[in-house]
Amino acid sequence: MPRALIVDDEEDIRMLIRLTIEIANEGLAVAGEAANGEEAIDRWREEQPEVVVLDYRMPGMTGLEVAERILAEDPEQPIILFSAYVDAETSAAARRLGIRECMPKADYDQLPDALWRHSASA
Amino acid sequence: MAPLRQRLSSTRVALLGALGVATLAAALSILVAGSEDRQAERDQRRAAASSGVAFDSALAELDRTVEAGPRLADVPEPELVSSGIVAVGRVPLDGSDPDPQSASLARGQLPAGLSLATLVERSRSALELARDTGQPLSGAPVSGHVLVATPDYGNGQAPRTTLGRRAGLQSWVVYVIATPRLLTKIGETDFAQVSLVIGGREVTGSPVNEPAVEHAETFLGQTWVLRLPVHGEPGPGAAAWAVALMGAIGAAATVAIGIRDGRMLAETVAATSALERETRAVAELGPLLQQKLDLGEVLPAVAVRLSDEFDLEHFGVELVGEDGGFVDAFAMGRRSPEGSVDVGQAGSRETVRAGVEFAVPLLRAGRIIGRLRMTSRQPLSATQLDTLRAAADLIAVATYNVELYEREQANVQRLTELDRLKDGFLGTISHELRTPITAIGGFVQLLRRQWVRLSDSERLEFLERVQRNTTSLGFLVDDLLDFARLDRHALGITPTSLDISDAVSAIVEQLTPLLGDHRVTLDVKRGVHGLADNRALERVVANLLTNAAKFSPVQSEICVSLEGDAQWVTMAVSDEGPGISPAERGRVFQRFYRGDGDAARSTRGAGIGLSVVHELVTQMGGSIDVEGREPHGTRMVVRLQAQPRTGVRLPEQGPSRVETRST
Repeated sequence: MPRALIVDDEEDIRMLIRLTIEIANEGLAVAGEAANGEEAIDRWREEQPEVVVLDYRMPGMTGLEVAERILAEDPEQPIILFSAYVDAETSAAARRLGIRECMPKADYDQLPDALWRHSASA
Repeated sequence: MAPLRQRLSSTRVALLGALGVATLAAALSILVAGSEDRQAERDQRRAAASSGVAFDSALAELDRTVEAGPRLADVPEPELVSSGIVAVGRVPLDGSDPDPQSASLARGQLPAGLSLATLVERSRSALELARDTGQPLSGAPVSGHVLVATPDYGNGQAPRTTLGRRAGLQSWVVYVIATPRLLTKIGETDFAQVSLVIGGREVTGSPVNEPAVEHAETFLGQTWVLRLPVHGEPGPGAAAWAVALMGAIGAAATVAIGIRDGRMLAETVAATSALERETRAVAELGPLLQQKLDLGEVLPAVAVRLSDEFDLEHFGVELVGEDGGFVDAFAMGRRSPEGSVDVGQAGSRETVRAGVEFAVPLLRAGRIIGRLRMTSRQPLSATQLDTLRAAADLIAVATYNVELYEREQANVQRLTELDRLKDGFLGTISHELRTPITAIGGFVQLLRRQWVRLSDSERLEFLERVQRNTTSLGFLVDDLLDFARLDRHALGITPTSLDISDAVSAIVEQLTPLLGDHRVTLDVKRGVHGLADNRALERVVANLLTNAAKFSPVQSEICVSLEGDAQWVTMAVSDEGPGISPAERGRVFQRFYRGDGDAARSTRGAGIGLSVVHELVTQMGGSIDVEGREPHGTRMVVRLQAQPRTGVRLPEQGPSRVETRST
């Protein structure tokens, strides 16, 4: 049962993602939530989720920095970068780091499909 | 020239004429008798030409040896000697005596009375110019010896700027060229006299008269001229001798008379050539000043050039500062404690005595933009002062150009910075707008799709979230619009007399749910009235509160206080966050400014809120300040007028949610 770790500093967005995943009822579950980079890394180590859904703009560490730390420890960890504003430069940097996909926040309801796609390749 | 003209009276003219004819006759007979001497002369010319070639190659060899630069001390002694070098030394920066690098070379090779230290002392300006330009340069010849200075920067590479070269200089390697040796190298010469002139100064031999063959080379920053006289030898022949003797006697008389005149002529020639040199030096300043736009590099080079030509012991450039006073831009040598004498306008016949400090104004479009201060070891004539005024004009133009350039650079920098901030702004704005919109859309969609499956409390919760995000979005859009209007001063504020206590309390109440997990304390005195615009006040308080919430940790306290006296209403919003450093406090109200450091870098907010707040407060006739708190935190203090300055009480208009009170 693929589990996702949701990382976003906005509580409303975290709730939205969690509800979307649970209500989709496709056998996906939420492993946990984190509101910033430090929490995200701690929670990732504890929960070992199949996929990490990561916001780009957060106070303290940015999403890319969090991804870098996680991928340094486990280069195979599927990560989806989730952001309200993703430009060409950021997606290129993300791809170089090893992030699997960049999704705009507006497409949040396609998240369940994306999670399935990436957990299969885990 | 008047005395000379006096001497050219008619008797003298006749006498000279008669002697001249006699000499001419003698010369003609010599010519007739000496046709074979012309052949000899042609041979001599050819020999002179080949000596010229030898001269070139001697200088070329010297050039190659000199290329060793600071590593000259490592060049084997025989090579040095064959190039004409008789001493090598290292001159330290601290002004102590030079240290001979090659003891055997230094020993007994310099003429009596001339030491390496003396030569170094006399070539100070060449040392300084060599240091500044990174090139080997030669000094003025002394007793037929020329000192060449090579700057040594330590690791072999000269720094790229003059200031860098000055700082990076470790020592100089100097060596001495003995010109007699050089002349011997040129080869056995049949010539009675050979003249070597370096940089306009006679170095060896005596001045050579025409006819002569001249070879000129530029070497180590000066012109080296070798003059080889070519004269026919008088041929044998008794008749020719007799006539020649007559002519010789006549010539001797002419010469005797002429010597006195000649001496005066020589003096005039010397003065003219000095003037030529000085004028040339100033003319060279033109291209020098145009080359660079860095006064730090240009002024020292100019100083050295002028000091050399005019034998200055002090040279300073003053520029008019912002307060109208003179500020030193550059100074070399000692200033006189008694101050400078102003030398007046061009065309005045003033002169300056040796050792007196004088000043020449720097003028630009009729305005004085500075002064040149100078003290010369020689007295300066009116003509020389005119030449210095010409130099001052050039320097004035150069300085003005530099100032224009610097101002332009500053502008370019400001615009680049603004551009950079704007780019960050666009990215942030997009994010700030899309986040609440995503939340609103998301929860509305959930409600629509899952309505029947949701409980009542869940439905209510979702609706509250939608409302909260809508309010945030509203504020952000208002901020953006106000910000766009800032430039046009079209904020549409009409300050009236308000009950500020009520207005502020109401706003804080409405906003508290949006402030996340913070404790909000109200310390508002009741009934405080002041001059404000309702909508603007709402925007100001909303912005300050959301900033406080954004930049302080959850659970911390945000305090809103309000009080007033007869003059001012004072409102303060305080938080317990990290605070704003004193250095940044001046900048927080600038547009797009989001702070330096990690905390601000990724925090949301587009950097427009405070600039809008500042404008709104100012338009209401008030002021805003930033203070720090102990142990940490920020306190934003807004002051509004308690009553309109005109003294006329405006009709009261309370906020719509509170009943209108009568005055």
